[in-house]
Amino acid sequence: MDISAFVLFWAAIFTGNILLTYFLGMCSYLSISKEIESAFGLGVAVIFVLIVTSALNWLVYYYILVPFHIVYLQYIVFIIVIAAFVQFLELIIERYTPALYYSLGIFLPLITVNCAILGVGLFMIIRQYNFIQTVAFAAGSGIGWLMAILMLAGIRRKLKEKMVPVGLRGAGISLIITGIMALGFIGFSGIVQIQ
Amino acid sequence: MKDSFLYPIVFMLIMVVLFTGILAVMFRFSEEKIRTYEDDTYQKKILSTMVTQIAEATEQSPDEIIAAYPESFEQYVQQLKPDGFERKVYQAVVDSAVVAYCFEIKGNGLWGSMSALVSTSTDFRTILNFAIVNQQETPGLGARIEEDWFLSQFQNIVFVVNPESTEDVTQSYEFISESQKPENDRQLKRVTGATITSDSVIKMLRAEFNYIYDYVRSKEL
Amino acid sequence: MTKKDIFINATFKDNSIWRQILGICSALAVTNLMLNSLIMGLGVTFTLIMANMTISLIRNWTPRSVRMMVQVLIIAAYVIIVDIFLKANMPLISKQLGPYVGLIITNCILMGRAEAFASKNKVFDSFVDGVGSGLGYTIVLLGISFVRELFGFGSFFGFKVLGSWWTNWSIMVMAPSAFFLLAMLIWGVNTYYYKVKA
Repeated sequence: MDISAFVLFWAAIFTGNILLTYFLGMCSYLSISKEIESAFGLGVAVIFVLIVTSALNWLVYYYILVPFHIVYLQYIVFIIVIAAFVQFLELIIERYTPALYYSLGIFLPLITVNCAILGVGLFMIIRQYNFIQTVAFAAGSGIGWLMAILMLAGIRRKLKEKMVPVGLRGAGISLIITGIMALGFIGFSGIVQIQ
Repeated sequence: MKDSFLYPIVFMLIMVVLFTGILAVMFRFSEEKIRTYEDDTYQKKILSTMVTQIAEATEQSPDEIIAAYPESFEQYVQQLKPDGFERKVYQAVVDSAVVAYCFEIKGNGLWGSMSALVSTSTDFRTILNFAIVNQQETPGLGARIEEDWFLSQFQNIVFVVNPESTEDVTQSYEFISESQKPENDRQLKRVTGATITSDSVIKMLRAEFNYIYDYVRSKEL
Repeated sequence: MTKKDIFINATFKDNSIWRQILGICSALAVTNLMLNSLIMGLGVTFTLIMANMTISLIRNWTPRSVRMMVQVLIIAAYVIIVDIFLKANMPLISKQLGPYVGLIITNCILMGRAEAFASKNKVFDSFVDGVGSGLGYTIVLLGISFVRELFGFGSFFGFKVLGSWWTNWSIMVMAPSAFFLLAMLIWGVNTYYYKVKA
């Protein structure tokens, strides 16, 4: 693929936003967007996990899975690499920033199954990106995800919860806001060819 | 014991070996079956893209020819391997005369790559038939390019209109929405809500036809 | 807790989608057609049951430091087993399920239940929880896809029920509609089932 890593980086943030265009990574996005601080912390963690695990998985795929003809183990291997790294990250966060650890709760281990992370890993294989493109794509996707969660957190903070019907508070209104944002992002589609 | 340093590592190793072992065994056992099924489906597709031409030449009905798989495939379809031609190509031969060609073409969709089989007339200008082999688009949305109404739009269309051109030998088309009726043969219906995927199909056809035509201009297949 | 309590909890009271907000990605992607929702629901339910039971079985030997990797390994393994089995024996169904394999492995519900229930409860209880969670998930999916397919394609499980007078609503075909429909569903459930007050 002859797309420059630079273009890929920006495309992954805006025109092919992993969350608002491809709808990956929803669960933690909806639940943690209540507080801007936790949202920011989770977003940064996701960026970190994305870059490291995508790079690792790229190496594993092209230097281990392909030469040994065990490509069918791709899902398992990728997700184990992600799980191992998230477990490692969990230990670090618990030790050094316990406040973040408690506010994230179950969503820290759930980074492992954040479809965005596995999704980026699978995209890089399907679209046959080289190593540099993969890192740029992963970084852009992570930043795009962070941007989306910050947007939602910002809107929710400004939203006068009292004006929202009781049954819609929390998840309901977040879904509607996200739906409107997603509709907006559809306008970006097709601007840049990223594959 | 659970808190020792070694235990988690050993435990993890055992689990990994156990489960990948089960998977590897299952895979080896099913590999044959899966491969055969995939080959059969692929070959049947090749046959079906050229079946109308074979039927005309042999005075059978297309259904009879499809039903006679694999014998009909062995009898009428041959694979060609031209020098420096980087696509799979097949020809349908009846009584030593070529009645159609079939090319495997590749392109990129929204979610991943796609590949298709396109059969052409012997002068490589008309698309006779078109079938999708692989695509990774959203089910119910982009994946609808595999539906008959979409694919049949590409049957018997003259695709190469500028044979001398070195830029683009193909016809230009305009996409209209699924619910409209085409007013002329330069209009094609796209899949509702799947503009990018529909565009990718025509992009793939265009790019691949230019590649093919470029080759056959100067060389024999 | 009785088995009945566990089941009602998993299916309704603590429903994975409308209560725990898990499994959303797939709820957006596969609800365009009822058939897709059903297949995904069955796939998720089966994997939930098998994974829950297995994780529960080994819960007393699983060290805390590797528990996530073990859970994810087991979940992924079962999904792939199902995929290989279908490819070899029911290839047509496998073609329908094909794109969803990846989605099932990362479906937060599986990891969520494994962590919250199966790793702390007995095998048969985990089985019941798996059945309930899967069923609850499938019900929500079918509900959303019923609306999306009806208004977006005029059909029900692939059978055309609205005549040609109906103009398909394109928005129902695109993913954002699932956002709005799910929000409506949650609103309804919160108001009438949980009866939340200000």
